[in-house]
Amino acid sequence: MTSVGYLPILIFILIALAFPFIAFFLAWFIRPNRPEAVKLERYECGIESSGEVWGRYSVQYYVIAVLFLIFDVETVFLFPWAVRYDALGLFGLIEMGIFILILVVAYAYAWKKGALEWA
Amino acid sequence: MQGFDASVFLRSLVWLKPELFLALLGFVLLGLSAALPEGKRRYVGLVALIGLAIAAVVVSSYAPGFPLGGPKIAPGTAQGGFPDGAGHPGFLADGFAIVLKLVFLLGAALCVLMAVRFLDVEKAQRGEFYAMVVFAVLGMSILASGNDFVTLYLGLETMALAVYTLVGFLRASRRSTEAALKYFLLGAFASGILLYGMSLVYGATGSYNLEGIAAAIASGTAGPRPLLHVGAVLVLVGMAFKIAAVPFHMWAPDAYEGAPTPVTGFISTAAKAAGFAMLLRIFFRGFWGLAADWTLLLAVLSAASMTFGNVVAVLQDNVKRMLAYSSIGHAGYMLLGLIAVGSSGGDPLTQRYGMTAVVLYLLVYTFANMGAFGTIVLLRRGSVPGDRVEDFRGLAGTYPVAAAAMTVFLLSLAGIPSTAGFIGKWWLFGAAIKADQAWLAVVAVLNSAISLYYYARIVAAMYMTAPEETRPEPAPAGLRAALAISLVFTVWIGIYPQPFIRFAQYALWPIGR
Repeated sequence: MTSVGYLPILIFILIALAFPFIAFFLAWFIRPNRPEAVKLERYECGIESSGEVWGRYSVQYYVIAVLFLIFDVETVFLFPWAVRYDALGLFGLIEMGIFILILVVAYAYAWKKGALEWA
Repeated sequence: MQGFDASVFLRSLVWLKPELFLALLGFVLLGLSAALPEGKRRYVGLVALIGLAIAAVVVSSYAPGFPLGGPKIAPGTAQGGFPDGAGHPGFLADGFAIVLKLVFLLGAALCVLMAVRFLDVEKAQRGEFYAMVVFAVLGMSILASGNDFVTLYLGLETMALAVYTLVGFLRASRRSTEAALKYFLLGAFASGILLYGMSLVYGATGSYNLEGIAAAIASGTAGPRPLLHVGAVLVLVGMAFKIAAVPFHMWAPDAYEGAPTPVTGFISTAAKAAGFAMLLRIFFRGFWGLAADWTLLLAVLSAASMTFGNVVAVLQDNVKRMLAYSSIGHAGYMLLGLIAVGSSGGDPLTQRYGMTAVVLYLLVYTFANMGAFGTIVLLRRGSVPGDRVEDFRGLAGTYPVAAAAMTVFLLSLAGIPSTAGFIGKWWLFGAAIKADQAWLAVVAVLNSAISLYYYARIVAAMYMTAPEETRPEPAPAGLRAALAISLVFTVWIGIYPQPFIRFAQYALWPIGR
């Protein structure tokens, strides 16, 4: 194997390295620049922020967030199935039933374990 | 993919029986652990044990000559399911998958047997432990059968997520959580490298199926060769992280030391075997056409792992850490078998020898290493961590049988004749010599001699110092069973290995196809 054969790899690596710089440069070049004090404030759901960033909150927040995320993603899978229901037919219905059943078991487990009780 | 054929999918499910059963078992265990009251959680372990035994029967039912019905797989042939657009199966059912799945189930069963007592001592008796062990075995089983990058990666992550949880299972212990975090971060990093390598290979060959990749390499239609090479090297790096080969081993000592001891045994045997299964599949099926290139890389990894692992193990005072470094060394030994196949130059006899050696050693190592960690579990009580060399002082006086068993396990790990380790190393080193890699065999033998020194330190502590306590509590039944099984098989394989060699040879598949 001659080193010439590895030229594409070198080019590949150079492009990969340059890519973030190019992207940031382009963004800086194209975007309008209107600095404002509000923009420097911390983000909090889009409403006016209250309290410190380093404030403590219940670890249960994470459990609820993870559960929410799972069911959020579930709908992502439900949508394409609903759109293509004609093509997937009974097979798709059973598959989706199994999928939801698995999530329901997990939900029942979390419920029983007290993950939904706010202590 | 052109069109989805439900009938093909349903027919493929027949090869997925063990995995479906394991998934169901995991859910049942999760449900039980939520439903049962605190005091009865230990029974989840019992259910897990019975479930793993049934899973072993389901896996074995594919073997010819097994009394139960269902489709059979003759030695050297492969059945596949879930084909991709080109008709290459995504999921393989062959002798290799069956043998490896049995090894995983064995490691899991031994881990569960030990864990029942260990979790009592740690006051962490929660049923989720057993469910996670089962989910980890599910991932490993998918890994052993995977024939394309997607299936393999799915299995790898299923296993890894369960194992991260197991390593950090002792939530109150700083060491356990630290180990889990380190293991998770480096594992995720390694997965990233692996995926990047896979994407480059896909880019170069136009297929993510191992057979498709092999076909593209063989016919010369694989795109730019260097791209393929870089992809293969990145895949190898990712895999080396998973099997903890030097220089990608740095997570292993911390993770092994901090993890609950039964889990340490589990990840050093079953999870390592799963890593080797993936390595064998990818490199013997997918990258076989590049064997001349990757064999040298493997030889470097192997020599470095053997030497570094064994030399650093000499310096350790913590037995779990010592066994972690010894486990790095053993990964180096096992790579010898792969190197032998890779440098065989198409000689089927050498290929068979190398493959048999790897599979046999995975089995041998499971018994010896699980046994050694089982003895550490035995020593764990109250305020005694049980994993320091001092904790082994005078064990011959307090637990004479356990001390004798530990001696056998350590001699087996060192490879002393009449133990299983000797047979395993005989095959591995023999494979290296057969494939004209005698220098690697010399390195391996020298390292075995070094390893004898630190194994002997533990034996000396057990037999040559007086016991510190006089009235030992009796060992619980589960742990006793685990130690007895490990001991019986370590001695049995050492004295009469033929049935186990035949077992390992069932795993052979025609390499290069």
